[in-house]
Amino acid sequence: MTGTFLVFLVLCVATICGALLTLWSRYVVHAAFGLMISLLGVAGFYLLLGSDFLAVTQVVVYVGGVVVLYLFGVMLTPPDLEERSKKRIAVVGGIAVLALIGLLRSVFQLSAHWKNLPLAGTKEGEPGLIDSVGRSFLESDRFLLPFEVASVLLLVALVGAVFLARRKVEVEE
Amino acid sequence: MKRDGAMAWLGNIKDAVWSTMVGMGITFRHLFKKPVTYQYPEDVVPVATRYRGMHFLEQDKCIACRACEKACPVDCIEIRFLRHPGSVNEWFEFSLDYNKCMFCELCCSPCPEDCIHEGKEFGFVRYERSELVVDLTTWKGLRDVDHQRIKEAEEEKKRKAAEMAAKKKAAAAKKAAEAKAAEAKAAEVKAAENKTAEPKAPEAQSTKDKTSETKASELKAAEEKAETKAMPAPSKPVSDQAASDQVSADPSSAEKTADKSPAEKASPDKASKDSSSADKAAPDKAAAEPAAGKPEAGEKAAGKPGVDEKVVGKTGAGEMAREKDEGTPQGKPKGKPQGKSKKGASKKKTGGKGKKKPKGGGK
Amino acid sequence: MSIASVWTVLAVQASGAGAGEGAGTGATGILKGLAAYGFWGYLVAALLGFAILFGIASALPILFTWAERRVSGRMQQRWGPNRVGPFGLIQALADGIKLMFKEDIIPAKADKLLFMVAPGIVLAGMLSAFALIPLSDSAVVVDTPLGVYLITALLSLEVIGVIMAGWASNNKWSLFGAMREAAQMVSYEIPFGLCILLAVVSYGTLSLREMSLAQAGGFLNVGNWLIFHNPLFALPAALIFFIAALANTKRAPFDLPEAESELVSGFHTEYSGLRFSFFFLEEYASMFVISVILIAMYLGGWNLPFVPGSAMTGSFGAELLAVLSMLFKAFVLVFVMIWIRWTLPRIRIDQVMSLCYKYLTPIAFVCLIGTCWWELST
Repeated sequence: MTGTFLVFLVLCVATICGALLTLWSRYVVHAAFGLMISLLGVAGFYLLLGSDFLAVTQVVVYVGGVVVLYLFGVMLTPPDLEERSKKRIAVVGGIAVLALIGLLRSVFQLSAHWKNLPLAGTKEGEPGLIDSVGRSFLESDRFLLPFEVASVLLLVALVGAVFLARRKVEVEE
Repeated sequence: MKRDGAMAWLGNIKDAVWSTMVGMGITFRHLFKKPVTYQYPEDVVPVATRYRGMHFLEQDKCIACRACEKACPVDCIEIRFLRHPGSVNEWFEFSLDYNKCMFCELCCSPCPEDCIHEGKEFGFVRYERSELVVDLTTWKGLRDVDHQRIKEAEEEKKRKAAEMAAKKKAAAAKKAAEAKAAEAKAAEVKAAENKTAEPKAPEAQSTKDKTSETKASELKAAEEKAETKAMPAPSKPVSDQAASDQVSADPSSAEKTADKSPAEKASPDKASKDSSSADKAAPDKAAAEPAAGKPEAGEKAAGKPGVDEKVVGKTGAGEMAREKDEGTPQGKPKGKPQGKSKKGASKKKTGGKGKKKPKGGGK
Repeated sequence: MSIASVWTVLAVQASGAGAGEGAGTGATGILKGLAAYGFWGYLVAALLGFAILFGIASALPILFTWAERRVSGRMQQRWGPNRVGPFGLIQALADGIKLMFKEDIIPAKADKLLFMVAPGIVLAGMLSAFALIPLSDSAVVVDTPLGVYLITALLSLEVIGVIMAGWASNNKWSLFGAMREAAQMVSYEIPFGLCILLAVVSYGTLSLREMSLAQAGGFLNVGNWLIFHNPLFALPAALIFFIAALANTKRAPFDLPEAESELVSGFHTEYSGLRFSFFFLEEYASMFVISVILIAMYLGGWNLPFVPGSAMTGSFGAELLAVLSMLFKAFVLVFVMIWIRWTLPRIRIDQVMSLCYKYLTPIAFVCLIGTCWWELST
């Protein structure tokens, strides 16, 4: 138990420090890396809670995807920014992180069965949490609707992105 | 062909897969080919026939005339010698500064004895600049590898000389018919005299030369030519040496040596000197003469009894051989300015064996 | 920097050790046994596993760099390294020692912390992935039900390290390399992921070990290999996976992040010594990891033709045979990667992108849907 607690402490420190770094870093890229640490810390919490699948998804989607995309955009900024933009970015970053945290929190509030969900590998006959996550998403009496709505939202975003990209080409013509 | 829409898409896939497979096939085939690498320190890269590398000095032939020293455009050759009026100069240092040398080969052309050549050695890597000043008399400053290569070059030169002699013999045999045979008797006697005059003339060498000669004489001229070409990288210098060897090897070489020694340079008609004086001078040189050259003397003498005729014939053959080996005579257009003019003069004087000269020039 | 790698591996292994069920044989068994002693057991098991993995993960690149140089040499009709040891075999070891003793230069204008941490992150992702690949039924350090999904996550960490290295170097070439890496990796993870999904759909499991087990048997004992079991869709998918894997490991013709002729050395231009060798190590080790994933998913895992699947599991000898078989297959694939590298020229970045989005992704989608239909109809 002490070991688990130690890990929990380390994760807490990592997550909070990452978040603070994101807020107050002088460099945007540092902020992005701070965000990465923070997100990895969150993934660690999921792991600690026995939610392997969610942890890995966190890493794949947020660390491997979102942060990389942030970096992709942010890397083109010069390393030394003006004070004004620093502040602004810190504020924007802070709001973004808060929004993210709020979003995550609301998502899990929405599920409302957080405490009742089985821990990974604890349920007999279950190969892990993947199975139960999959079932809860795709069984019609559980989270099928939110799942589908989310996917439609992503589809809309995708189509919107394509539309924006296309319009540019048309302007050139 | 132009594709559009789905066909273009599919066609691109087909092209990509197909071209990748073709490319991979090519690389896979090359995987099993023998590498073409020369693993340098062990394998020596064969250099071109006319490669100009480190100089190779035939010490026994050099007469310290300093023609090369004068010819050198960058003054990288320095010769130090003692004068012996009436005899050959005794030289004790022949240093070549490879810091300066640009391998123009201009030093090789004026040499009356044809004793300095550019060899095939190309490794000039040293730790210090001073090490690049090489004394060609002692080969000081050379590495073991260089020494070995020089030794090899010398052996090659000897082999070449023997071969060339054989070739010449065959050519001579063809041309000079039975009249020669009669003359040969007299020459044989002279050759014997020569041999006795020499301090050392290894029997083995002479027998080897003879066998190669007899063998070569059986071959047709074309075959001989092919053989020379097939020789492993016959360098130009070596072939030159071979040609010059014959000139220097016969008894008249001593006479020629005398010719070009500074003391006697003044007299232009040295070639008409009779054989008695040549014989007299021979012992001086013979001590230093390479053993290889000697036996040929008899052979050559057999071919051409008259001294003057001999000289003429030799020059012709020498040039011919050189041109044969190189393909072009460009390397040394005016082989030996002095000697040549003299020989030309002598040729005019004798006129008798003029046959050979035109042939050599025409080749 | 190595703290980062240790940390990641620890996390992975702790999770894996927790999720593993029952006692296996060999190293896994020991690790699992240790893990039964609570957290400190986990820690010891994880450290032990880390040591083993680090050994393997550093030994393989030595072999592969040697192979790469020899093969490329022979393809160009050269000899390749042949001076150090028999056939130049320990040339790579000599190079490694040389790299270790070289000065570790950090540019004055570089972002020091990120510059130092980046190689560790790159190495950590790869090492952790090493823990998850099954060489036989029991020769897998961490056997989690997440399997291949976790590997994808860990390999995607590598991009972060590369971007970090590129940006921290404060060098325009490095930055360009990092940008290309980011664009390339994010793009190619789509066909890569789709091809993994195809295998997951076929087997109904994420564990590479279980996938390999499932491919035993069938006609000549190859009939159940995914590419033969479902040739219409799995064969192109395997090819797509392989191409995407080349892009993910930054191998030619997708080596744009390091493109020597354009970007000096890309994202690791400024690195030297040991830190440089980490990037080097990562490239070659990930070649192996990716090959094993492809084999486990599509090429029958450790199963061999004519050898019944039961002969590949159970006893120690059988497991050894399985490991050798897996290694053999992986080496063949690594050879193919080397072969491709020395055949194809580097392609332009727009070609890389159009290949991914116009060709690989649609085909992978078709293959995935086709496989769903195939699996449902049979």
